[in-house]
Amino acid sequence: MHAGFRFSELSDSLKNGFLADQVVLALARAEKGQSLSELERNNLKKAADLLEYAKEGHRWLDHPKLNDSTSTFAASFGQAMDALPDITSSEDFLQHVSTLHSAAVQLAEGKIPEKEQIRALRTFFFNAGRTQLSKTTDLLKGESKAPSTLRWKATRE
Amino acid sequence: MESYKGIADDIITAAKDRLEALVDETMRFENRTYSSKGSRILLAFVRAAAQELDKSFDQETKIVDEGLLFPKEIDDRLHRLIFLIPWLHLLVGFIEGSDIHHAPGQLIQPLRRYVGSVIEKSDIIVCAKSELNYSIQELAKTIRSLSEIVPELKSSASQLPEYLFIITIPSVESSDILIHGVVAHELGHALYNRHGLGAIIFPDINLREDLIKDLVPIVSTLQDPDSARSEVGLRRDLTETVAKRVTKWLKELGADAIGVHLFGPALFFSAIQVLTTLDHIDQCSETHPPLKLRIKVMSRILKENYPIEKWPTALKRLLADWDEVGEMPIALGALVDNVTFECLNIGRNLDVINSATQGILNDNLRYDAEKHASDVERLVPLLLSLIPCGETGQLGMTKSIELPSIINAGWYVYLCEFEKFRSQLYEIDRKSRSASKRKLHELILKSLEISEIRLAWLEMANDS
Repeated sequence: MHAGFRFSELSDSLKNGFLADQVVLALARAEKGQSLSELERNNLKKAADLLEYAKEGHRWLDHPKLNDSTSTFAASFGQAMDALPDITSSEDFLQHVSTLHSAAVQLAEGKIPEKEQIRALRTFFFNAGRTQLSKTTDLLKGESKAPSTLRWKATRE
Repeated sequence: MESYKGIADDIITAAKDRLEALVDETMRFENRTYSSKGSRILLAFVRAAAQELDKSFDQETKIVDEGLLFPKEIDDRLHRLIFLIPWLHLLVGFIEGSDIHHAPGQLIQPLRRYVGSVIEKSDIIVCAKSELNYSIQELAKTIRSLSEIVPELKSSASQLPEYLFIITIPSVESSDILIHGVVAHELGHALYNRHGLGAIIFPDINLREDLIKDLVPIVSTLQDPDSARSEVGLRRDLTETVAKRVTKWLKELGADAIGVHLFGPALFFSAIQVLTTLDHIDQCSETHPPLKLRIKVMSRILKENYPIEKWPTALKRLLADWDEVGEMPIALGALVDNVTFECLNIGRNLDVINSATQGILNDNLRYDAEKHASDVERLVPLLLSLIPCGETGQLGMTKSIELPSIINAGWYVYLCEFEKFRSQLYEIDRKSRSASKRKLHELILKSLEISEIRLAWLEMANDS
């Protein structure tokens, strides 16, 4: 019953990565002052959604209730953390993600944020895409990585 | 940058060669005879997708020439596109073992018909492989989801049926028809998604907030100070692992529950036989709950919907044994597994799963106590007389028997009347338990074949 190969997980990882690549290309165009197509603005809307979901995911542990979006929120939180490797506190995380979210929303609406904000967003999605590339590689090789903090076993008499 | 352009060109050329080889390979596969139409559908998708991808590499060359991206960004884009090639290879690999020389023909047509009746616009591929593994994956929805972001896959993905199931069974057990009752669990997954059961079940699940919140201080104190995760890093790990486990485990339990509503006791018996020989009863993973919890969900549904007290001793004992085992504390594994188990192993939560899954099947599809009693009364005597039970009724007015009924009758004979069945066999088939079991499976496969022939005739008569 356990699928020998996680085809859907591999497809998800590719899907997340392709979206990140498309967002990076759109941001590269925006940085050069080029206008964005409707498809590109749509992808930036998806980028903004991911950042909003990441904030929701960050809050989940404080009020662990379930709904149909729980796993999406949690996965988005994970993706955002992977893309922000230097962040070590919740406060910094929320602040960074809010700034990035605001830039993504502006671009999706056809507005132009500060160049530094566009570059920060581009770096974020490059990192997000790079992490997905590594995940895709692991899945293709049949490897899987569990977070080290959760490998401990509890014992009871 | 110019040097990187040269490297990018070489990468693109090598990828295009690979795609051409893949297209050639699909042509070679075309010459085989497959037991289900789904294999050819998937091959056609792979070929069309490979041809489209070939064109998309030309598009990448233009993006490289635009000079908008940094080399590292170009490199990642190209590699992502290149990774679609092994992804397509995987799909071709799924078809291996689905040709008529490997997959059991008598099973496939009735299974295909049954799956089509449960989930319209679906098709199946049955593959017999050498590994000891049972699995069913739905491919079409996954492929379509990826094609939303990868336009090169869009037109080829639109040719796929709404659902395309790939069912993998171990080749050495391909004719052990009774254990293929586990298919009902996998159909449960498709129905779970189609009916959006997550949105119905999740809000009613009462999680143990105290246990989940306690994880943070416990895990923090257990960390090695030299490699400790930051506060937000730990929060991320716990959120991802607990949320993923809870939602995935609920999906599995939901699929088990739907499976019992579809196949009745047969799923319970198949699941016990298949799963207990593959996993330890307390074994769980991030996607699958412990077997103990899964069996508890199925057992509760059986007890609620079937007159268990009237069942033969062998069946009652089987249920009672599992009830007792289900009450024993779970052997401790990883912390998050325990917390997830404690969160879900609550009567109220298990009732939520049962009630949400009960309402999604119409009476024709739902296997129930009445059908089970009727199958035991009508079909079991036929099997005990070594007569296939694919159709019943007076000569000239016979009706075909449905797949879940045949499988349930088979399980009843196997678990309650096996010695009586053996006594009817020729001596050579009575020699060993496995030889007798093989005869029972042959009889059930023959029953399925007869049922399918009867339905095919009926369809032809109606068409003309």
